[in-house]
Amino acid sequence: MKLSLKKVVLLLICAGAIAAGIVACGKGVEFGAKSFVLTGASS
Amino acid sequence: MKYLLLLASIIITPTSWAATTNASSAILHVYGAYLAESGDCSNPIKFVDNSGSAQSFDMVTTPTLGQGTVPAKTYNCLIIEMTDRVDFVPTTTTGNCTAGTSYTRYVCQAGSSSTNPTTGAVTACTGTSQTGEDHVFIYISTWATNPNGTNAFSPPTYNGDATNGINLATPIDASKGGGAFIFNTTGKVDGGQNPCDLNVPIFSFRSL
Repeated sequence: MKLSLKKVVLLLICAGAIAAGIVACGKGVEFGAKSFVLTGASS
Repeated sequence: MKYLLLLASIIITPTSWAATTNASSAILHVYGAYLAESGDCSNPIKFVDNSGSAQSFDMVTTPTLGQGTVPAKTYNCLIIEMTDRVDFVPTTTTGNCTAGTSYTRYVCQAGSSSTNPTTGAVTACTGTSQTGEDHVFIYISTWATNPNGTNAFSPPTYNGDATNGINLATPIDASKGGGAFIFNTTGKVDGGQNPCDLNVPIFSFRSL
């Protein structure tokens, strides 16, 4: 099966999208971190 | 007659009628703060770090003690790293307390000690209620049952420990983004003591 230039471009775009998804998923672990603010009070 | 005079002098002694009052200012000196998942306060995450230098905060003014990033988990222990020095100002004049005057109280004294949550090192406190500033850690944990803290400066060793740590009513949900360390001095300034004293405040934590 011959791959047309159009198909190659589409494959590259899909591969890029998958890679980006994996990276985003990996970063999702870090995004589980939360900023925590500690205040003080007397009552 | 002598006995009557003696009785009268006892009755009219200022400390015998002096009441307690509130604090218009209660300053703590904070090095940092930690959260730990376990009620024994092990493996804590330091999320407030004043780089070894204590910063002063007036708890009456609802200050921001600090902030940091922690995993969005549930924590059973909050540790406050601070000096044992409390500077307080009585709201009203009663007995030996004068409104507007600043007094100092050291809450960890000779005979007590504090445990470093990271190294486990136990350091003895020094001095009296009037002298000797010490670097201490206060443990607030769901494992501790005592709201006043018989030994607030060491972590509880088992779930239900009535001696070590201060009671944390409910676990801390970090996904809520924060909460307040409460140093409740309501009715704790004691004019019946000489000098004017601060009775044990009620420590607690309130989530956002």
